[in-house]
Amino acid sequence: MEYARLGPIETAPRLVGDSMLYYLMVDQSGAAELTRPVVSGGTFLAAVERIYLSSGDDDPAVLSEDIGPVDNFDPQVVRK
Amino acid sequence: MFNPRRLSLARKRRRLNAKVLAEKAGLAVDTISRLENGGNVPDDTTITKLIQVLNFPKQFFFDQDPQEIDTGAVSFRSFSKMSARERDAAVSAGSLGLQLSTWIEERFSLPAPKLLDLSYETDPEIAAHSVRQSWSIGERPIGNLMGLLETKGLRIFSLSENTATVNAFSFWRDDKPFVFLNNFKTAESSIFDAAHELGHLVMHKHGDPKETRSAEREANGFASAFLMPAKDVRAVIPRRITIDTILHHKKRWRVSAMAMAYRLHSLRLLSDWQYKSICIELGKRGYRAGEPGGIDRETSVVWRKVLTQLWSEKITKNDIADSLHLPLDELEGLIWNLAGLDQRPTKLGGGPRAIK
Repeated sequence: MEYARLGPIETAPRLVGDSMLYYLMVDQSGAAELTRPVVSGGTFLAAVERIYLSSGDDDPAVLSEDIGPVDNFDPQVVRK
Repeated sequence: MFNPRRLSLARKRRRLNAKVLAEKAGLAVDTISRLENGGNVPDDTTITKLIQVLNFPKQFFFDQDPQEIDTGAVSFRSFSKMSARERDAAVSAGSLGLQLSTWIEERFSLPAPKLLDLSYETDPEIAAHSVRQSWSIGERPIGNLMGLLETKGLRIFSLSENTATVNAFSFWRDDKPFVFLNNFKTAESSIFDAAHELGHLVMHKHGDPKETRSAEREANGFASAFLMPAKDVRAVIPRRITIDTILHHKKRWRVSAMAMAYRLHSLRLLSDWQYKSICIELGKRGYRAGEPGGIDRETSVVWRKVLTQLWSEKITKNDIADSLHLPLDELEGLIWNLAGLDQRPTKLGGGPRAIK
């Protein structure tokens, strides 16, 4: 995975108020993750935490039954 | 008593103008005009000549006035491309369809209509979402649109017009929604046409739905949003869209490749350039003229149940046609490709039977 070039940050994560700063990493195949890296002299050294969002293979949705098609219709026809 | 309106109806169904009918029947053009205006009553010889050309049962011309359809209240697709003769033939088929519908509903209870009146709504996306919400189908794809529409009370008939210029039409009559579909087209096209007509029925119930560009745009937008809900499309479609993506995923929403490409473009998932390129490629692969490897045609559950019940009572389509004083081909045309029954008895044994 190639990471976006970072600025001259010495270390990460750094605190922004009470929040952590995560970097959104996306590679050419679409794989994505949120990363808290350790960066020194503008160079990625290690990841403190990685949250994987997508593997980038082009079928993001694993369809479960509740989002499958609705097709069980039975209009009632009654002889008079 | 001879009914002049029925002569006009039969002539229009046979796509004949008065001049051609007169020539074929060996009568004067004035005679036809006077008969249709009610100025003259035909003698037996004239009636025989007319029946020979029109091929309608004699009794048809002596029934009460047909249930005529106000062409101003009918929504046509591709209206501007239709000739007057095609339009008259289609509207006349609608009139015969009403006659058949009355016959059926005298004998069967069908689902009551449950359609929203969204005449005030001008945004097709919102209208489609509202209808889905009222029918409790959320954002899920519809695996059987015809079954859904029939469950919600739409009366669906076939248009036996083998012409590309008549896609479908719909109208309200006695608070019941009627849809006539051209079943000569691909299954995907018929599904889109049905959703398009649903759009007219809910969005243009009180207006004059004669083809105007905005009304057609609204109905197309409704059909697109109704069949392919934005959230579902965005959830399922991958980021990188190729022509193979479209050909694979169109099956989920049971739409044509072209309709899906259009939807992706309207949702800004395809750029103008990508959309144009994909349309060109789809055209090269034959997706403009047809739908290679398309889905099976949807069939009507209501018509299957009705015909199956009637057949169990030894009532055939011939019997229905006789009861309505219609030629069999006209009855067949109204339900052509709808019932999905392969084995169709045309005439069962035994003598005449009463139809209750």
